[in-house]
Amino acid sequence: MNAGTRLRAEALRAHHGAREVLKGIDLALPAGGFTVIVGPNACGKSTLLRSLARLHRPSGGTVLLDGLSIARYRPRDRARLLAVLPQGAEAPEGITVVDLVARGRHPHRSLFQPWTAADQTAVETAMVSAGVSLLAERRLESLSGGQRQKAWIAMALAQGADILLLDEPTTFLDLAHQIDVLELCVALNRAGTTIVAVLHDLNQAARYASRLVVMRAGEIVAQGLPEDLLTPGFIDAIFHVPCIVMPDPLTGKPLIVPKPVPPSR
Amino acid sequence: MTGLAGRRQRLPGRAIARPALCQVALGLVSLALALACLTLGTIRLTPLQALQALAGQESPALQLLVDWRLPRIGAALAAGAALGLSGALFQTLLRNPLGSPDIVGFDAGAFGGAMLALLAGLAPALVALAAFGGGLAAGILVYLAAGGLHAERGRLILIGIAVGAAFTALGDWMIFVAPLDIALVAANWKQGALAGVDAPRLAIGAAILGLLLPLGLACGRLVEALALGDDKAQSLGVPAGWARLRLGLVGLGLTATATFIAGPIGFVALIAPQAARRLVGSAGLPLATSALFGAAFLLASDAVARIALAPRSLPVGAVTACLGGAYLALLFGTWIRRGERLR
Repeated sequence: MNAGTRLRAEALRAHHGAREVLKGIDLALPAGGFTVIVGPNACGKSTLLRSLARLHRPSGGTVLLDGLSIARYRPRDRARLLAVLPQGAEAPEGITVVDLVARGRHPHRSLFQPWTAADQTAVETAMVSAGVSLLAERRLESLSGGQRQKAWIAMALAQGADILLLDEPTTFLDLAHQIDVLELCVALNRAGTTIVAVLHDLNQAARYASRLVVMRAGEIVAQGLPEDLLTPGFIDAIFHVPCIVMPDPLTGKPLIVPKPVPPSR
Repeated sequence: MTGLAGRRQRLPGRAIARPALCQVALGLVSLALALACLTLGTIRLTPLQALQALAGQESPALQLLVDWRLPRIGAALAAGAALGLSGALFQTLLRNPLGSPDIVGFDAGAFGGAMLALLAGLAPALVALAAFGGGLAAGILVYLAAGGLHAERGRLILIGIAVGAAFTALGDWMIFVAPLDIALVAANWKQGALAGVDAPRLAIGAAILGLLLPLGLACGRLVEALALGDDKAQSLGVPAGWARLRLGLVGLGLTATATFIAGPIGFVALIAPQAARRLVGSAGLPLATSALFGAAFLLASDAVARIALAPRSLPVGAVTACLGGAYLALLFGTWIRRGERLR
């Protein structure tokens, strides 16, 4: 087993009702990597992420966290190693950013244990890392979508986990906030957090991912460096979009430019 | 990093001042109300007389009077606290201020179960158990009919209202067919009347609450996590399914016990948690404050019930229903202004 692997899926299968959504996934996620999972709608990428985080019970196969089946961890022990930002998290009305971030300390606290200096430090550090310290006293609902997403990320950081799974963290954000959130992920990744994210935008995936996982119809069709995978032929085959691929003038990463297609196609 | 020092005291665990203050204030209000209720009635006492009678230093007649009035006060406090806490648990569980056990028919279910046991002539302890069984039956029915945990919340509440109506009808029918003596007791009970509370029933109810109230209050951390959604709770290491089951069972137990003590009293579970949240100024529903508010609210309502049309005494349920109706109108008004739908 690869020593640099934190999270690994072996022959992972999952169902939504009778429909098989994951058809035997084998995947090793490198420690310290920024892995982005992409694929057409309904290809199972969200279910894969949810299964990795044990938000979804797989119907077969295993997920290994640090070499041990994730099902065998006590939930709070798992929560100290791995944090998830799921889609559609909701917050009670009127909660402030600092209160939300403090709730990330849940797996470190118990019924009779008072708030400690370590909890305090973790919350403050998390807010600084996510760039929301100045918003600490603001109510969550008064923030922009991007600021809100950063508050949620701060909460995940306060959890103290060094693996962070994000399910479409940029959906519903405008472009500036999308970039803001992704740059934050890059910064966290540089600081040592292992990041796995499901993204929709191929160009953003190409720019930010250190490793790309491409799925289609419940299977992984390719994985590797974005610059190796993203060729015009491959993109047309998976996403049915004829395009040209050129080096991004700023980063040198692949930049995908779709070709106009006649409506009849 | 500058400016963080100023925020230190606002972090949880340090920000205990306001909730603790509210709890102490509500406790004092309840005490004052309890003393006031001892003095109220056809025979009025002075607070001093009431205190002396409590200490056993009054004439036997006054002594008797106070012993008579005490169970009713105890029942109001116990049932009110149970309802307030149960309301906070269920409104968190169903993520809706209307997701209260009295609205979704759990108290009607509990009353139906208790009636069955009463008709069968069972002992008070078994009547309490049957009340829990009835509440559980109503809960399971609502859960199944709405299509499980992931049902749309508005749907769950509408089905709950229907199930509650069915159980209310069942209770009415049982009163109708019951022998006259039981029917009289039951009809009084169904009004949510604290007048008929006897010492044995209160003792059993209090013993159950002695177990359930701490269990419910200990759910605070689960409530905080579940308020962020099931996925996020799961991500924090809270097994959401188990947490929901625990909240639901404790909440049902509290509702059933309150119903066993005082009959199906509406609107306390609905109002107390929201009022407590506004008092404390917290995000999410504060459990202990909800329980204390429920206790004070029900006792105050009972005081009104006793003096509003004196010498005739109203059922306390009628008073809470009047206040509850006003609250509902206010709530819907806010929703309509904000353009929200019943989610």
